[in-house]
Amino acid sequence: MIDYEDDYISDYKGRDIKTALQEAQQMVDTILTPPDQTPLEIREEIARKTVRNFRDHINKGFLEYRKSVTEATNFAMTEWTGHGSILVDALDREFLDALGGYGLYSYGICHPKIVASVKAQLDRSPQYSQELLDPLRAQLARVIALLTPGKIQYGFFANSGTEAIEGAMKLAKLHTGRKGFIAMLKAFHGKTLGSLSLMGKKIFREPLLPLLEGVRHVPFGDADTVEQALAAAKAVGDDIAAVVAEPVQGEAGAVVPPDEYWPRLREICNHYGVLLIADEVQTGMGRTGEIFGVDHWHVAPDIICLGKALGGGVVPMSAFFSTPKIWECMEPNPFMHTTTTGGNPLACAAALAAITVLLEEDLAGQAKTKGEHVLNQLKHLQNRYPGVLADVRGLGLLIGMEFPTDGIGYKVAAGLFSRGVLTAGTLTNAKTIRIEPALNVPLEILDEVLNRLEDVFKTIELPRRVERMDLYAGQLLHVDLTNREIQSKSITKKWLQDYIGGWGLAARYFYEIVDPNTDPMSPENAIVIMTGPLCGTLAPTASRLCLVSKSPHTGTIFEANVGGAFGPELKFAGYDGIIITGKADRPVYLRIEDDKISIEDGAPIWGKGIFKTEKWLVEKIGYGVKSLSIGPAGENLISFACIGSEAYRQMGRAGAGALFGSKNLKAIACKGTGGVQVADMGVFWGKVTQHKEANLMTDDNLWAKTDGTPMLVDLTNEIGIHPTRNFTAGVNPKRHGLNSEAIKAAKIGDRACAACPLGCGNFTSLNGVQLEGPEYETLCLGGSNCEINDLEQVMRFNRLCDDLGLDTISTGATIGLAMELSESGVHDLGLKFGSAEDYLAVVNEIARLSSERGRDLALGAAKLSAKYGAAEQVAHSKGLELPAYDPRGSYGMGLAYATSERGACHLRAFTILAEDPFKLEAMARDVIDGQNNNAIKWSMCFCDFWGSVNTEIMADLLTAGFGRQVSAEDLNKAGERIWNLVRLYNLKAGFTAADDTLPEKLTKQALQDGPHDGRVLSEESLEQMKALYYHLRGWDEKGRPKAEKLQELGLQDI
Amino acid sequence: MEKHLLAIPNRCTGCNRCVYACSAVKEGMFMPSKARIKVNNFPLEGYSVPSVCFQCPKPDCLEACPQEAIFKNERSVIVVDARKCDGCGDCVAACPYGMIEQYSSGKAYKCDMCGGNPACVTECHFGALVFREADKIARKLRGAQMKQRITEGLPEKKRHQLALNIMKAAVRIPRTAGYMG
Repeated sequence: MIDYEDDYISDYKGRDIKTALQEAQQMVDTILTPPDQTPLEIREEIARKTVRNFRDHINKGFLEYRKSVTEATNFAMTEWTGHGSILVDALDREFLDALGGYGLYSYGICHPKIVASVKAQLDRSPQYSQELLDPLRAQLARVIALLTPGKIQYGFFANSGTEAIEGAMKLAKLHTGRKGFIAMLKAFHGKTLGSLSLMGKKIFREPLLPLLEGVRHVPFGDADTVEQALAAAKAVGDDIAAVVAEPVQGEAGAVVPPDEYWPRLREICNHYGVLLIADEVQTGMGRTGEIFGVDHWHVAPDIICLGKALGGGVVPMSAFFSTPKIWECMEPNPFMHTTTTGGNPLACAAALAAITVLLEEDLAGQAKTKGEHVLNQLKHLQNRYPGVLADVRGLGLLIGMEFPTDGIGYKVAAGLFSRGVLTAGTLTNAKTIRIEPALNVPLEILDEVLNRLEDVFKTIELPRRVERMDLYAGQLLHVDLTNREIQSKSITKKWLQDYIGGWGLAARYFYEIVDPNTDPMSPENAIVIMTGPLCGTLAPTASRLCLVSKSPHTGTIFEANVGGAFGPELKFAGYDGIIITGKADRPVYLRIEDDKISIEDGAPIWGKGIFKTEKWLVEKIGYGVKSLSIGPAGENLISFACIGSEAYRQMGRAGAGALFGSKNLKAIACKGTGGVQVADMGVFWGKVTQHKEANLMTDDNLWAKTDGTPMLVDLTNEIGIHPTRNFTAGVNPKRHGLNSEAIKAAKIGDRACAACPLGCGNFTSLNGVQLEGPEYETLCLGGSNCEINDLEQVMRFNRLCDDLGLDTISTGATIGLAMELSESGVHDLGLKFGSAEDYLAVVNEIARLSSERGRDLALGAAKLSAKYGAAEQVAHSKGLELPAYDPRGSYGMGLAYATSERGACHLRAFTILAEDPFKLEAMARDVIDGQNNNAIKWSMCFCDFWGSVNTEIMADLLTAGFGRQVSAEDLNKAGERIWNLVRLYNLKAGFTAADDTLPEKLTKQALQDGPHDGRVLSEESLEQMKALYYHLRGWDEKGRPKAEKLQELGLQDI
Repeated sequence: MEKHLLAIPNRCTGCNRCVYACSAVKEGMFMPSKARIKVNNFPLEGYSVPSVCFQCPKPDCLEACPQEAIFKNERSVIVVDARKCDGCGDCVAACPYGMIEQYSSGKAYKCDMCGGNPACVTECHFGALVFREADKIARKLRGAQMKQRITEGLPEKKRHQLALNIMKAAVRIPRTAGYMG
């Protein structure tokens, strides 16, 4: 910009009368010269001066806000002339006017009939005397009375829309004698102090508080909230004069209310004896396809406010009109509300001519058909450019386009401007842009605007997230390792409601793509990794990550999940999940950085432990990368190898690590910079906080914060179900070395998964061994069950397993079995109960298959016992080693283990705290409830440790996140559906009721010590529970879901 | 006396609730990459260090800004006037803690203490973030954290390096109530 500071010839006090006259005269001369006869250099000069004058005398902020206007070229776009829907700037550049001066130019710029009427009146008498009666004003009032709906008859004319609102507010207060108003959120009625009180936007109100008292705001489009507010106001004696609303919210981005909204407002206002004020400043005079916005719903307001287009786009003009009854209060003192210039002859001449144009040219009808045309075209554009245009809405020619972000909206506005199209970005942001051209805009111009709009859309770099979704990212990565193909595809929306996410959604995908007879270790098997809808949000304990596949350990379909922060990171990168198929021809890792995804060489990390692998990935890709990786155990296809994340967290059970290994996939590393959005952040956050405070952070769950899982050591001992000495005894007399107190003594810090306020992880340090953990299962299976009661040794065992990538439950249980095999003389594997040295050494031997016994133990407990003919010594179900709750002291756990889809698992149903653990029917019911509930819980990706979370809370959080109702019943049903779905898969894979079983160790050998000393869980009892269980589940006696049940769950066609 | 936002790394669990909350307030969505507070997680070592803006008494970012777009407000909080910011990035290079960053548009953003009620503190359940008038211990901790300055590299790298140093210097022993390290 050229600096004009020197132009000022300053005399004292900055006054310069001579220059003032000179510059004023210059401009008058310019005005008097016909625009086409003004020389170019004068027009360039004017363009420059205008910027300077804006900067120095109007508001610098405008130049910043309208940067595209001022900086697109050397010369700022300076208004010069216009006609119809074409605007020409001072340098003869043409613009298509799709903005219509925010609804001012409904008749086009300089409509000849209106201009002629005003010019003629100008020569006759431009203003009135203030004393005589002026004919134009009176006639105009009558004409408007004839046009307006209902009993509206009297009116007052002013100059701007906000004045009309001020007047309407005064009228409502005078008539009712009350002070309050109900206005709408995001409403816009003007910015003078009274109107501003009604404004529904913080940014304009907050700095100027206090405003008029007694104004309250409710969401637009929801009549119930108006009724609630009225009822509440009445109840506290703080009565309301009027409800004020725009028929269609303009500034908010052309928001059209539901059809029943306005009729309901009328009804409610009648009921409460409150006035209804329609702010038709923007919507009136044909804009929305009817003469007034309220005409769409045949509602007669008590007061109607007009402005903008009322003056024909030629003279400023506004008005508020009402019924004779209401107007009575203005009559005793007609000077209650006056204005000198409102309704002046020029304005009335303009308005009268404008009304003839409105009716003669049927502008409302034109707005209707053209509006439909534009909306249709925009919807096509939305389909073609879903990532650019998020939403399209409006009525008549008041149309709003919503963009996914301010950034995209700004690019669209700027792109349109540089292509010669004027549109209206809202004042506060560019996320919504309005299209409101002249109502008589030629179709060719509209189509040209749409053409240029598409042209702009094409240039906008498609954001990765091609679809705007709340909570979900909306995309799934499909990775084919054989062909090294990576595709990002839209998530299958029809499954979301029935399967939610996590376990359910992953299982549904898996069901679709993997034949039940597939060999788990073959390239044909798929690994489906899935987050849940709440993952990556503040919803506590809801960011776990699920994996579904066919297990190399059990041959069943299985689910494993992990906490930490990989799930959220994946979501931030833009994906709800990953589906991995095929097999790489050499070791690789998958690298995901937002939309940059590659299959990278895994040779440098092949053979490394998980700890070193994670460090390497951080060094390679950058700080903050999150990963899932396997250690040597996974590489060596140990069927109980796990996947590790953040060093000490695992997808532990059933051999997910071996599946990575079978595909030559060492790791998945991910770094994301995107976000997870929700329908309304305030509402969502409010709900999160509410449930967090009222339900999560209560005694039901706080054990996780204070103790974590080690507290189960004492609890299970007390109950007498604490597996000790390879499932021989139910109590460990030497547990004090392993219980919560022992852990606390070694604890140096709390650790938490993403967004978890519980922080159950205990970071411990003892004699130079540090790790997060050990958790209860490890303390028991790697401790008591091997009679290793020295915490330091269990910590070493835990760290080894975590680094090598072995599941501590299966590893501990297998070692425990090997100890019994050795000590009982079945087969000497050189392992003894309580002997730490070999116990630690063998972990390495298993993971690396480096010794004879290592290879033996790598078979897992079931196969190891089979190999040496000692089936009576092993505790497993479907090949999966038992976790740390002995079913002989808790029959429900037995049924839970026997009927779990992945074999003996404590994360399907958990009945250890049942009142009577031996009551078979109650146990069958408890197990079903637990399984269904956990099926939905793992599909929502909640953590086990929010024990008191229920489907009501889950539904409430989803409802807040999506902005639409989700019911707890639907979630309950989904839980049952998911459980049945995985059952169907296992049946197809050849599993039968006979596989829902427990081993001899539990059914024939009595548990020793503790309260349940001498007890077995007999086959008869198990069969009885199973029969009940099948029956209650709606399955036949062979454990197959009956047709009616499948029908009920919508699974009949699967 | 003015209040400080203070991080106590020994108490941090690495849950990132503060980060999520910050981005929710500032960006309207859960978007840690744009949060004004960061948490550096060292999972293997079981340690996490929150990175907070110290609202320095002599702010390098403010001094570096050629547009005078960064100023100290009445609460002694250092804020960016986005209208004045022209996206040069000098402030980002100048901050020795990596606590001011830029949008893709170039505009700089940083912690503004949420106008005196920081959302991050509200969401911290382990007392690893506190917002209060500095007492002797707090001043000492803050001083120790501020003493280290990294002048090279991208903000993420600076934060990581500082966090690493803090972790190395941390004294970690079994907890006692009120222990701040």
